[in-house]
Amino acid sequence: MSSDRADFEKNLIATIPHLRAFARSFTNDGARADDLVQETLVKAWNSMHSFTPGTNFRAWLFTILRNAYFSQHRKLRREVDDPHDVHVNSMAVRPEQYGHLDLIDFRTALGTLPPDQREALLLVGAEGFSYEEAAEICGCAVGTIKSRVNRARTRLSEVLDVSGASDFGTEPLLTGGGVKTRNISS
Amino acid sequence: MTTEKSGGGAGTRASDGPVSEPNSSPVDTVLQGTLGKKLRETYQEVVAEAVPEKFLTLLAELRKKEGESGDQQT
Repeated sequence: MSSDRADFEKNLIATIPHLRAFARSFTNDGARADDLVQETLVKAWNSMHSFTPGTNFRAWLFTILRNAYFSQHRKLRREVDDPHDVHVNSMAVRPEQYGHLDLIDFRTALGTLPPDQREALLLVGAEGFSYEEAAEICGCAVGTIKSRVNRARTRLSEVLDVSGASDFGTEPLLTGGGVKTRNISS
Repeated sequence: MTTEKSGGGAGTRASDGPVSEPNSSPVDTVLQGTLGKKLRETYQEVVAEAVPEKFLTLLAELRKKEGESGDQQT
């Protein structure tokens, strides 16, 4: 069993960079994102035996991280409206608030997507999960993922303006800072 | 156990190109290719960051806690 254990740990370590990137899509607070990854690692370690060999290890870990985020998120929302929270912030951005669309960089544009659309887009378009895998991670129907990805792409292209598509900003994206728009719609 | 690279396995591959949905509004495929590329680059920048030592320390602690004498430290 110890070689299984060693494999598990090796695969876990190899997935950490992806977990960090995924966590960063939930929160612009790097420290909080890493806390989320840490929680995911502990949970994964403790439920090592519930992983079914032959199934997608990364998808399994992403599901754990996602669940960890949402249970934490529910607690946080009761306490404070977290300004770093991408989900809280991006909900409120409406097309009429974009201002000059051509000035918006790619990362900001991502932040304007509704959270469920951004998540679907990242899982499928950036992580390379199949629609089926993404649906399993998000606990929804495959058709729902397809439609979210599709709407996300359409919306991104609108926000970024087609004419600017070839020269998007080159600054680091998804790495901190973030969309600062407050929820003004509620 | 298998760790599949970039979510491999059965299923619809969707990481490249636009989603073709019968009812979706037509989106320029060239633009979608650009968006997809930019998206992957953006994401990859975070993936490429060095893994902080604290995560490896955590795993080492978890391993130690289990008291498995057969496992070697990495």
